[in-house]
Amino acid sequence: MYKNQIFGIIHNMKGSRNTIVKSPDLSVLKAEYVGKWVALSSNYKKLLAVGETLSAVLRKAAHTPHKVVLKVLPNLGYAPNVR
Amino acid sequence: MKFRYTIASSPQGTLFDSRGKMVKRPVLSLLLKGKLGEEFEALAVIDSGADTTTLNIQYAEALGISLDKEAKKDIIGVGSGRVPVHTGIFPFKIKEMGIDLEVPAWFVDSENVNILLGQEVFFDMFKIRFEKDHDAFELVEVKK
Repeated sequence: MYKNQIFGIIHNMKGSRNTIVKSPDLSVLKAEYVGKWVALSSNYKKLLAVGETLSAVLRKAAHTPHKVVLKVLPNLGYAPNVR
Repeated sequence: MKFRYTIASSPQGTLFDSRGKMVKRPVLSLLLKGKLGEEFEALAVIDSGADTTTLNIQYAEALGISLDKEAKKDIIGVGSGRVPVHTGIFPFKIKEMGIDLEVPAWFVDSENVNILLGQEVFFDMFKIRFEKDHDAFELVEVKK
């Protein structure tokens, strides 16, 4: 289907830097959000919106220009299959 | 560029391994462009166990990605038994590196999937070094 499609890097503006990027702190999330979509402020400190779908969350948080969205998954281990 | 591993915590608490240590995952912040041109970030796990980047089908709608209805296939590993996926193209920017990418992707309607950056194309574009012993992973762009 995509045999002639060129994938990969389109543009590199910054290049590598000798810094270690901090990991996100998602402690603002609460138990009732499991299974839902959320939008957080870009510093992860404020919940902007919660909803059943990604599109709904994006609509609710449309007024905030910088945001992070994610689906809140249950706190379980993850392993791909091997065969 | 190096990134800290992210603690696998959720509202239900932190996840611990069999040794009582916190589970941590290689999470990358991606910058996405919505179908109306608005930008937002999303979090993705780098997953060498995924053949191809796999993400929740709701991203297709939000990003205005057209999925090839004819190009459905089944995969295993993200649900019970065989799980149908739609194939498509996933465009994103690695926020911290300022790198724009497009990768082939599987879009899946699953409660258990957010974004998994799998091997196809992505692992060809970067040398990826998992340095779990000191809590970091590194992406180095492959120069071709």
